[in-house]
Amino acid sequence: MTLEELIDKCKKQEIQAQEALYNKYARVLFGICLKYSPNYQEAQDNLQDAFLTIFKKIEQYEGKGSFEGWIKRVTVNTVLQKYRKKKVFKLTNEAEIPEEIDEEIEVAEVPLDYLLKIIQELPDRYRLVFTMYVLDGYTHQEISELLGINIGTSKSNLARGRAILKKKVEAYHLKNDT
Amino acid sequence: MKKNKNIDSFFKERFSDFEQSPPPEVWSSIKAKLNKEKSERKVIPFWFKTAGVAALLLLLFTLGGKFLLSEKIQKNEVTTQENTPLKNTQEPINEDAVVQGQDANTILDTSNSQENANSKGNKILQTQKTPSVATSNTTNSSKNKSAQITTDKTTKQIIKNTNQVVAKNEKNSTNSVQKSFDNPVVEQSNKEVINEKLIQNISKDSVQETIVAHQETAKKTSIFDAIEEIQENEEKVLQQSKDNKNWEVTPNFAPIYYSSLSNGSSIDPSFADNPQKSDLTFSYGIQVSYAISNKVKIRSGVNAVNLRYATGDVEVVSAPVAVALKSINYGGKQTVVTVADKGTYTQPSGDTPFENISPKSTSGNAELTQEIGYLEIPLELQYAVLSNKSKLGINLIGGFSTLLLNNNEVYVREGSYKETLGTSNNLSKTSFSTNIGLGINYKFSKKLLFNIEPLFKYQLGTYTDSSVDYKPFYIGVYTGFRFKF
Repeated sequence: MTLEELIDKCKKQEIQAQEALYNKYARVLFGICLKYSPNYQEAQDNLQDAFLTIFKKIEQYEGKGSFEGWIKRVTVNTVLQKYRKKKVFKLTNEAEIPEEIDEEIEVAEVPLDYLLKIIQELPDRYRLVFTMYVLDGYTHQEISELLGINIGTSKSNLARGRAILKKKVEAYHLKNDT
Repeated sequence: MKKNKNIDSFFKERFSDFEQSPPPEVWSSIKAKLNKEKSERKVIPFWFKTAGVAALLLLLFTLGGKFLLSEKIQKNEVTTQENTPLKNTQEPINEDAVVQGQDANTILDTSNSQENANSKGNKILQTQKTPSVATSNTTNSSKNKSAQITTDKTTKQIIKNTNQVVAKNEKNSTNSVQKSFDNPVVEQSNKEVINEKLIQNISKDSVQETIVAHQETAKKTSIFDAIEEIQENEEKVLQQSKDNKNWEVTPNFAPIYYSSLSNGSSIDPSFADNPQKSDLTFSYGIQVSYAISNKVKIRSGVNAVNLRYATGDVEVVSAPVAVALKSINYGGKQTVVTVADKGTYTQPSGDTPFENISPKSTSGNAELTQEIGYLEIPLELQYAVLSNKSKLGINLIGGFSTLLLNNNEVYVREGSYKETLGTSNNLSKTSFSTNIGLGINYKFSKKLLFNIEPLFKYQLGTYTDSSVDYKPFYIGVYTGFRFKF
């Protein structure tokens, strides 16, 4: 079955087609959910919500542009919707915004699981901004629009998120080096 | 191995093409939800009517503000309708065009016959080896062909051409007569002469026909004008008739059944468990409706509504106002006739142990009746489910009414004994109702319809006292004749 046929059948809400579509894209989309969610369980919930949205909105997909791109966008939007309204704990004072930190990092064999864990542990907005900007290549302009924040906030969130991650990677080295 | 790297590119590299298989329970959960959604979808038809009514209500609220702008809507209506007659009139024009085309064809036919005649002549000429004529003829016939797509002007040309051919034929044939010595040739030339005559005649005829055709075209241009005029007139008429038939007036009458969605009593909570029944009452009035579109009408009007309900199992006593039912305004009297739940004041013996309270009726057959009259001003939308084009029409109706209290009486009755207690003091002077229902109409003529509409009206803000646990509604089957004008 071609992708077009699969999409057509999904538009008709055929459950076998929906399952096939799920099997085809679950891994990629779960990857996205893991990067944007605070933990594994919520990533599961978000994956579920994303697929339900995809099956609901698939009628609106007109075949313009890549389908994978479309479902990825739907997934990211589903997750963003959930977390963008939550405030980052206590907003730190402007003075506490880290100065340009040394962006060089000592790289050794840091397991991917650990990196994922420390991303997930970031406060919601730091995590969203960091993942969007660094991992998924969104611009600050796009981030500001999608999260409903201003560009300055996006930049400072990124800096803070980055600083936290750097510390944690360094902590990992210290722990494993000694 | 250790090396320094930019933190962003470090993370980006590690997470490029990051994928992970989700646990299997995610799909089972999605599947369950999808199935649930499907089964919910199947239920939709059962709720279709309710949903429709809800949509109507929504429409009503949104259109409420636009009601004043209905003129605009009306204008739009007219423009869309203008388009339809245009389409219609185009058809007759096309028919004319066909007729015209046929005319042209007949003309062409004549010219074709000329051509045939020519070609006969040509054949002969060709045998006489006069290629020049043949060429002229071919060009001629080709012109004829091109003329098939054609207007009268070209027809004229054809005729000119044919005349030229005729002239040439004449020359050639004379030559041939002069040149020929063989009989058959002479015969042929004779034939040619005959042919020539024929051609001349035909061409004359065809010229005449062309003139006729020209006259016809002239006429036709005037026909176009006429069509345009008619069209314009039709539009005007349509516009007028449309405008006129937007309005309808329906004098109506309805038997009313009044009840409550809760078990409480509007008079006193102590009566909550008493038998309560609605008497059949009536509503009558007049309704005016205006068609916003073919399907949707907005309507209002005024109706007098009488509602009555009786509470049984009560005893009637004469008592000081202080102990009497609180929800009744007794008109300033100190000792009043009032009612209480059976057994409150009187004992089975018929005596009352209370001073100042004397029983009036203790049989338990007495009924406390509350009578309420409203002046109802509805604002409703009517949506045609079944087209008005058929004799039978079905409409969904939704909206709300403003109810102005104009009659309020509480009385007690047992057999022929009737005594008014007073007026209910907890009724709002102005209250509302939300209305939904179904309208069925039968068309006698374009201007007259019979209407029957069962409507359910749920009352809102009926009582000034919010603690009253009585949720009244009434159902009326409104019947009447609808006059369109």
